[in-house]
Amino acid sequence: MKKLCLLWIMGVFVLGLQAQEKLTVTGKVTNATTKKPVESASVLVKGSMNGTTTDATGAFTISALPNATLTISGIGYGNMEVAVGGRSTIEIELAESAGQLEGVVVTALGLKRQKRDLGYATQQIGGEDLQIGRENNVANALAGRTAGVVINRSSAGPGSSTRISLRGERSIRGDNGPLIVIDGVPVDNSVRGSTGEFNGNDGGDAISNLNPDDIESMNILRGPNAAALYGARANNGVIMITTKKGRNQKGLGISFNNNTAIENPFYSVDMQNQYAQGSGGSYIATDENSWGPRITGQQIQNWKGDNYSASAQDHTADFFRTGLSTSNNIALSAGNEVTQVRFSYNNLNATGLVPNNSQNRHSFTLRSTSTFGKLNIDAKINYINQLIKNRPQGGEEAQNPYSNTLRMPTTVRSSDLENYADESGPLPRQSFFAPNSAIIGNPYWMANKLSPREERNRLIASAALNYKINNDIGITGRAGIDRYNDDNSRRSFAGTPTPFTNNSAAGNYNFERLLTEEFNAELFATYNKSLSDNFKLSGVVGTAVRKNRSEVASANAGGLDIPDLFNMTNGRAVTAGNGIFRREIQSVYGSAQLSWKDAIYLDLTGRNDWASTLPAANRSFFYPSASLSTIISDLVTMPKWWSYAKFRTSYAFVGKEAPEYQTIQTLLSSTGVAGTILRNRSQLINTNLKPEQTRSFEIGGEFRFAGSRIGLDVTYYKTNTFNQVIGVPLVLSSGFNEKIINAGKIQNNGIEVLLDIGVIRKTKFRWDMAINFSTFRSQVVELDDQVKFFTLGSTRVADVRANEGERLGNMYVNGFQRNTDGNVEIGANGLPIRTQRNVLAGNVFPDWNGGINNTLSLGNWSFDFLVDGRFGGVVASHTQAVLGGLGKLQETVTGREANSLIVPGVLAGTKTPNNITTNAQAYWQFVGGRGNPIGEAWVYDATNIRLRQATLSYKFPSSMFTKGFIQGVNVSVYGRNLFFFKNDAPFDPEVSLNTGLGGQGIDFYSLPTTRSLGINVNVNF
Amino acid sequence: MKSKIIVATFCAGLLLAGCTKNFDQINTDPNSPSLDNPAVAAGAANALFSSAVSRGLMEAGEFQRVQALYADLYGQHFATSQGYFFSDRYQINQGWLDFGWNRFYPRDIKNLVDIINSDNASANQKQIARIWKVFLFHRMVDFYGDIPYFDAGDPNKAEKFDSQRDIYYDMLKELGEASTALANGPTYDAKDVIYGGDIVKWRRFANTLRLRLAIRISNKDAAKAKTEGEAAIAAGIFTANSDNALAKVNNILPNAFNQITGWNEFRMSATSESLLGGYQDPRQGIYFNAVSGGDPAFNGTFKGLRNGIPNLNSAPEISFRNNSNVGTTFSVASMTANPRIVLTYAEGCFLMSEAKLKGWSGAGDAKTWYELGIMASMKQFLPTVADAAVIAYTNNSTNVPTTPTGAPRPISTLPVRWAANAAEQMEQIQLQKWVAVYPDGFEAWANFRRTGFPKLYPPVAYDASSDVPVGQFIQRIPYTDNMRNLNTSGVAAAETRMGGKGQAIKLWFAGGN
Repeated sequence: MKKLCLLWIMGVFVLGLQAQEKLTVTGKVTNATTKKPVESASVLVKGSMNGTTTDATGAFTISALPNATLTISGIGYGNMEVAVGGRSTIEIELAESAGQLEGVVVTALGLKRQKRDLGYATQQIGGEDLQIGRENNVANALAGRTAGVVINRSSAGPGSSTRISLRGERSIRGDNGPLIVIDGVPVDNSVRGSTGEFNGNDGGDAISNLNPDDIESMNILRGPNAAALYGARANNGVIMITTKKGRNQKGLGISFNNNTAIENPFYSVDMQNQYAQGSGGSYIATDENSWGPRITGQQIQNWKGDNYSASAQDHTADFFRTGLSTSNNIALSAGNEVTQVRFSYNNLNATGLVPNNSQNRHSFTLRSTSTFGKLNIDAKINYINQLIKNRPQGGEEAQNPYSNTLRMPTTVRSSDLENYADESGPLPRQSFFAPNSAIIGNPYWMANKLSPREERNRLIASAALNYKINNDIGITGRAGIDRYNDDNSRRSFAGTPTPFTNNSAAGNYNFERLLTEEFNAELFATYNKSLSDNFKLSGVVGTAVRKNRSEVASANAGGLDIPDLFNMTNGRAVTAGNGIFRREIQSVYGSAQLSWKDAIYLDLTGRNDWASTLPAANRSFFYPSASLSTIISDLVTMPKWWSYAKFRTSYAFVGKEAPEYQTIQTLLSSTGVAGTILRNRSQLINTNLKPEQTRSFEIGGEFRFAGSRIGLDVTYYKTNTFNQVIGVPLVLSSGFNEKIINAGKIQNNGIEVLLDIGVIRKTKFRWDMAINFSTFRSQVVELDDQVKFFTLGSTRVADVRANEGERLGNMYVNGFQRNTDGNVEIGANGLPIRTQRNVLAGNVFPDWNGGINNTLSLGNWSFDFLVDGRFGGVVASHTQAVLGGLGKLQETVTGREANSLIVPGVLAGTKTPNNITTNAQAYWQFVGGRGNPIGEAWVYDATNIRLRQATLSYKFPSSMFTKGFIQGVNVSVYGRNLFFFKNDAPFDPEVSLNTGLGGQGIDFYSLPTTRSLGINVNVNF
Repeated sequence: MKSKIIVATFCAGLLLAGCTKNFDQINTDPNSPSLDNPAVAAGAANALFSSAVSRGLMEAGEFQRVQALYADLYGQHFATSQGYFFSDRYQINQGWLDFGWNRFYPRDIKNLVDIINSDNASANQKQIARIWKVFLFHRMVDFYGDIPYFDAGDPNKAEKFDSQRDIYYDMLKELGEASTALANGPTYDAKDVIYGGDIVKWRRFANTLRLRLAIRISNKDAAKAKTEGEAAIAAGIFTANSDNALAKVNNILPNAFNQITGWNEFRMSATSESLLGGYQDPRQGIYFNAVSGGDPAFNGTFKGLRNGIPNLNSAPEISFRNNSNVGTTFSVASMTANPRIVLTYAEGCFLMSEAKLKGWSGAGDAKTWYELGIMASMKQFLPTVADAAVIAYTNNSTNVPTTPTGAPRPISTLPVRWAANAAEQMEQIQLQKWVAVYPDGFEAWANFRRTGFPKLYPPVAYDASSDVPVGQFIQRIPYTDNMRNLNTSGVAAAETRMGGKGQAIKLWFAGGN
């Protein structure tokens, strides 16, 4: 039925086809000051969706009616309007603006609009920023450059996922990621897998599959106001990605880009090197502790019976290798005035810090844009194949190689670990002092003998047809599919610790196959009309459908019988599972914009969604938005130093669907001892589920001063999210752990400031500075009548909670019991007294973020550096707690000699200073350790300021290439994460356990972030 | 023209929006069955009961956190060799407890309540579900004290913590009613992994469990205990080892106890060493293995650890390598074959012996039951043991428990041979019952709190957070913050009723409120 519906609609629009005469206009855009070509400037036929961009020489070709007006804009430049006036060649000199205050931006539905018209904040990032200081996951490149964006990367080596949050957290469920839209078509950005306390690993997200070389620009629609037309998923904002197109040009354009970078750990843990493996001051070759005797070069015997002179080893440094990533991209572009084609192929090869860990990604993109009279066709296909090998496991279990290197007793020789296989028995096994431990193992075995392999084949295809019926009306039909298959397997070789092989000494094998599919189709009409000299009206009306499907099938051999025969027929107890998940949403939407004298703009939008995941009675939901912007400087005479002033305000409602399958109570089935068994699902469903709703208010202004040399963009926003679909804890005797309810009110408000300063603007030398600042606060105003506490995530070191009346993301820990004077109380054993987990340690989110980006250019040289900081917030480290308990941290050295430690504090119940001695091992194993650390001791201020990136570029002068085949060469060298100006935590506070809300602010054996140095070479032929 | 287009678009939109009639089907979970589906509901009782048995006895992660790290340490068959497991020193780890508590009602009790309230379950299926529900509940009552009981499994009822007395009275009533109601007719199939739906055996199970509960409350409420105990005896408890309640396991749901013993976290306790070694008990080599792969001084010996060792792994004698792990039957290698022991004839014999000491009618001869209990337990763990060897063990009057290295005294001064006076007989029954109920820490700990036998060793060290006076024993597990946060007034009322919230508060059956 739905297919019929769509066909019928398509048919309606084909009827409208008509022919009309157009002119082919070629032109060149140069910088009005420097007279240099402006690349990637946008050239748009005003009032249409017909547009192109300039090439490296500033040239463009476009079809337009003889009486049309072209709007030209570029990032860093002002807007300019030029009448075609029947000309076929046009030279345009574009004046620079201060930063990003105006120009053409891509807004919801892929509509290009003048930034000055908009009643909400957006920010655009040019593709060059993403390319040169290369991050292979484009999301990471947003860090520090944009206001209101918080980037937290998980750390599972190359190809791991990144948590993006725009304007903070609104959803308790943790679903706070923005919608990713590529060329108008939404794509999936699910994260596969996540790291838990014990095991699991990040399986990468979908945005990390994208080839940065294909990206023309990214536009960040930060709030629901900007994104209202995208509906359900847009209440966390939208990242609009525009990819490169072919150009109308002579001959074949070839662009080659190579990027090579090396990476090393950004920090290392401060370990002690004075005390040997063992406990209580005695050397014990099979002890996981480093509480042994002082290292004096004495002879010790390891688990193999080898004798050697004791010395402290740096296991982590010995284990890690330098990561290397190489990305090669070739892009071919050709076209005439009818059809332009761009093809690109990208190959990324990256190796991680952990030996054997690698990522290999191939990406093919073909995009064709055509204009046949009034019809524009834009078709694109992107195929991605990605293979990730040996992605390191997270969590504390022995499979995690990094946790093993950190915890390895001081005097175990790295050289003994490197020979990881013990071949003395009938079957190999890891050579280690505890070969079947679930908690600690030989990191080299884990890196070599578990062999996880993740292959993804992904196809993103889309097509858009745009037909311009007349000057006023255009129609666009667009469909896109994003489909990927993940093929993940794990081959644990014979000898892998038996807790990880279903207790088989012969190894284990498991795999899973996942299918993820998102289909989007939409159809909309645009309308543009000057009603009078002063009034203009434009509008959009459309309809859309979205379908999501995911499937999973998995099998586990349950332990192998014949060693290392990785086939399910060789499984001792094969188990299999599968699942199918589907959802659909249908929508109609419309918007209208009324402007007066091109100075006052009123925008109204409305959208109605029908969601399959909601019960029939609540399935349909409507939400409107309104925005108003006024360009004061066009209405009143401004002082000479104040060239531009705009005020904007908007109010938006956005609805959001529920997760699937929440309307019928089901049981969980699984294999039991005698056939299938059923158990009650611990979630009580809600047959009256309603959509979530976000109400958002935003007000802001954009100003330019001093001849546009200084630009300021300020936004204040406030959002309230209601009716969140959350599972709240239920009293357990009810027979359910939680019930699904619509509840909660999360209030989130914040301020964003962007400041652009053209510090020096000479023909030869210029210095531009872009400063961004943002602060946000998410408050849990209400939860539920009965439920006042909600735990977002719980680990042994800390809980992250959403308690009513508190900030979202407050961290609670076990603390030190203190008396009324605040002194730590000491028990009869000389150790502090632990409280329950009710000590508020702080909030996991920063109080504010900021970044300063400087670009200095001198002739063909340019130097760019980005300093950014996060201020406030806390982070707790289970890693540090465990290393403290094991006696590995440098700080555990004091008071090691027997019973020589007196813990500062008072005797419990008194004011008498503590005089009971204990010893360092007892103290640190009580305060730290893996079982039940006192979190308060392991919480750190997350404030940090770092040199995020520095890039030095040189553009070879075009005079060098007048004769040859080569037309231009750019070379840049860059470094990322170069150093901290300030950081109080003994690790990078940007790491997190996983990308979930409850994993924020928790360091749990997270791989260190990396410092990378790279070189980028771009050659155009 | 343009107005036509706009109209067409709107019409198209409306039409499209009308295509939502299969949304109900899209949102029906194809992966999970629902009791709303009659075809599922018709046969659900077997599958729901099967889960309530296999999972009710707890899978490894939960078994470790709830049973092994608490009840099994406090029953003292085992001690932990890992100093970081503070629970052996009476520190309460709330996360472990919540892990189990979060599963108990939603997963197990709700399954049973659904069967009992089902229109599709047979009468016998409902009776057996009632019996099993009592079995699961009595462990939790004996663990925490007052817990929500009467309204459990009903999401429409506010949570209420019920008094232990009321719960015990109701459990006894349920066992009596349900066992009486069992009659020929449709019952569970092979998905009942204990008895395959055999109503005769379930009836004997119910009566034996009823006798266990009656004996449990006999110090506190002697009259009720006598009435219930005599009724249970009259109705007929287990008659032989072939009646033993043993839950089958497989590779998907293996024996959780076997599974965790491979983690090297638990070892033979000094209590076990004293009793089993001192009596030269033939079961010692089944329950535990001699040390191997440890230091030469310990290899080949059965060696036990004191409970509550301080958090220092320095001394070789407390390393897991130098202490006895469980025997092969209870090792990881046997986890898919060794059934889970639920309730045994041997225990029934010791309950009968004690009933006789109490003068309950129908109990027979105390000495005979004592000796039958020993024989039954020996045959249960050592099917091929010669009767003469068991008789020699039973009649031995010279072997007495030893004093393990580092322990202050032997666990008892009595030999196995039946003593002349009732006080010693009482201790002997409890000693032998303690040996027989291995590896069930829930029962060993509860029976110790009631009788004080065996005379366990207090922990070597007490955690600073423990409120148990040095030299004394933990009496209950305190409620967690999570339980308190969800039902502040309910927890407060229960604590008021019990007389406090700590670990030293005695449970009702042990003389508390």
